Amino acid sequence: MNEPAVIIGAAMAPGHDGAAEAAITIRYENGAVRTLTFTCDALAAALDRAGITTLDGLCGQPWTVLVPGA
Amino acid sequence: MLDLIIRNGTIVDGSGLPGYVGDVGIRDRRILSVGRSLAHAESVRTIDASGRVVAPGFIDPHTHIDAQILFDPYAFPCIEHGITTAVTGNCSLSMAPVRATHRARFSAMFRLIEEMPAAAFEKGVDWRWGEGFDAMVEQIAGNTALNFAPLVGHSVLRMFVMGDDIRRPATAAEIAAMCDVLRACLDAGAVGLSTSYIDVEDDMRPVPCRWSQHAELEALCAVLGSRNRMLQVVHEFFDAELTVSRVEMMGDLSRRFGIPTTLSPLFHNSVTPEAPAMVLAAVEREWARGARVWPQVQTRPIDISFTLDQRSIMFLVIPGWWPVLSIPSKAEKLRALQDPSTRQMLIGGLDALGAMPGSRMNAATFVIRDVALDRNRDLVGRTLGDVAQERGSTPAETLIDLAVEEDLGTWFIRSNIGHAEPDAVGALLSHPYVHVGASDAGAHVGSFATYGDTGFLLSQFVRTTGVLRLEEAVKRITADPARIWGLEGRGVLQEGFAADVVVFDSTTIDRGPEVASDDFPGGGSRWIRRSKGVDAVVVNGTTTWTAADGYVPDARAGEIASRDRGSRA
Repeated sequence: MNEPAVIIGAAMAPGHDGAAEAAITIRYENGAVRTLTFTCDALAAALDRAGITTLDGLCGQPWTVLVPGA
Repeated sequence: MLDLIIRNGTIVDGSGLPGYVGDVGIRDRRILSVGRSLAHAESVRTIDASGRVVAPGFIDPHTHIDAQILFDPYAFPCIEHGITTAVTGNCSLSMAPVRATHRARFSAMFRLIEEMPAAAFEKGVDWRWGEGFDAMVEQIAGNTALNFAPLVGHSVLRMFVMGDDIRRPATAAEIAAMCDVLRACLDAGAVGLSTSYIDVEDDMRPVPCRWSQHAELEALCAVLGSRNRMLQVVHEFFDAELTVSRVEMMGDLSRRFGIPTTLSPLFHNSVTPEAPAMVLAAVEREWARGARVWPQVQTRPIDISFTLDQRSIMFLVIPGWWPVLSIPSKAEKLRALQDPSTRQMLIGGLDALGAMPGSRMNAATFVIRDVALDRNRDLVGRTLGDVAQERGSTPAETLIDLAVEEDLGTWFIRSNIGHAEPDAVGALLSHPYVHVGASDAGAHVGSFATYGDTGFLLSQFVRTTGVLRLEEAVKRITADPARIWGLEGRGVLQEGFAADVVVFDSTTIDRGPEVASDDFPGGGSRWIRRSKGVDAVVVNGTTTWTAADGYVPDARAGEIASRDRGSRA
């Protein structure tokens, strides 16, 4: 069985509307790597739940940490 | 007798050919002669352009001045930057056709997506044309200082035909009705259709066009194809692979229906620096297969604004800041920021990050964008490094102290955080299939200024980096957009063409600093940039703005710039 999808990178990125966004890179179970963008609102609740206080703290976490209610 | 002669300027005619010194003669809204001496000709007015560049008026292909142009015929400050033609109705949102019963819903969408102040929209837009696209166009055409090229928004088109029951696929009859309405809009001067794959309404559900099935878009593209009109797409710009798929879809539509297509925006981003190359490779493949797909690239870098009153992802990269900025009570947050040990921890974290090799998180470079207290007004526009030196503190200390002093009401800005590497952005802007644009003029006005991108192109990418020759840069914002959008009779200084002209100093043209402006109805302020180095702007033969005298009262020479009307003599 493959490893579950995991966050392998997180960095601040400029958003289209002048706000900072988070570019989060995930390695999927099949080995594919993809970078997704999250706004502050979309990310903050997940971080609060997980007790994560830096973007670096996301690295190594399972992707489910980003899912509301997971 | 001519109406206007622009004498002795260096004529950069938009074709890309080298500039040369000569005169430009204008009569009856048209260019009568270009280049030859008019020393012995007489004219009602004369502009001495000695030492200046005389170019076609600039064309901005991605604006949201739709609402503004209804209460401000000059679309301030677009014209003083040399913009003589603006494409409106982008991103699936146009001011018509909109039924009276849908005005509130449409207004909420427009204000949310384009960040238009609610008070300005409500006080400035009176909907007096009624509901139809043709009536709206006629109203604006009779009272505008610049030309406009309106798109029809796919979201409003769906609402107009389908009513409130919009969150579903359209029936065959509804698709046919949409095609009929779109056809009528094109007859009235529309330059195409705009659609979106990312935007949401204020309840965070997809905008109406996102509920459509692909067959609906195909049917509408068939209508566009009958007139060779544009499809504008807001793609998933945050995801390179999705964007590549979208480019392929647009290429397919372009080939099958014979239409030009454009997507915006395409950014360079240091987090995913490979993304633009991936997208451009897809664009090149589509062109090689016979499609027309134009990605729009803006010239200006992206800045990030923040306060200490709200959480920003910025604080997730500074050790120790996120928990403090996450304190929900402002009073408690203020106490924490003033607590000596917490304060020292925050300052230490920011200083440590700034000291790291290659770090871009240097508080000394943060700019104070706006203040809450009048006594601090003179700090606006200054860097924290500058103010800190004056106060005998560090930039990080000044950041916290100023925010606390102003009850967390101070706005700061980190400039050039993205799309800011001159070589990478320059390479994008000079790519043959890139459409220079995506200014978003008129949108996001509460967050940042969306004006002055043409001045920035000419200052940064012609004068500073030299990645573009002056003649090439002018072509990218005049003849190229006129060709891409089918604006016949515009974009080139040529006999018989519309007399849209800008006179500027190539050694000084630029965008001015970002400043607050309270000119919108309903109070509040917005961010703008004034022009630098532009001497005069002529719209359809009428001098509309000059550096010496500002906006000319009652200048209303603008018209619909679409092919059929723009080319009429």
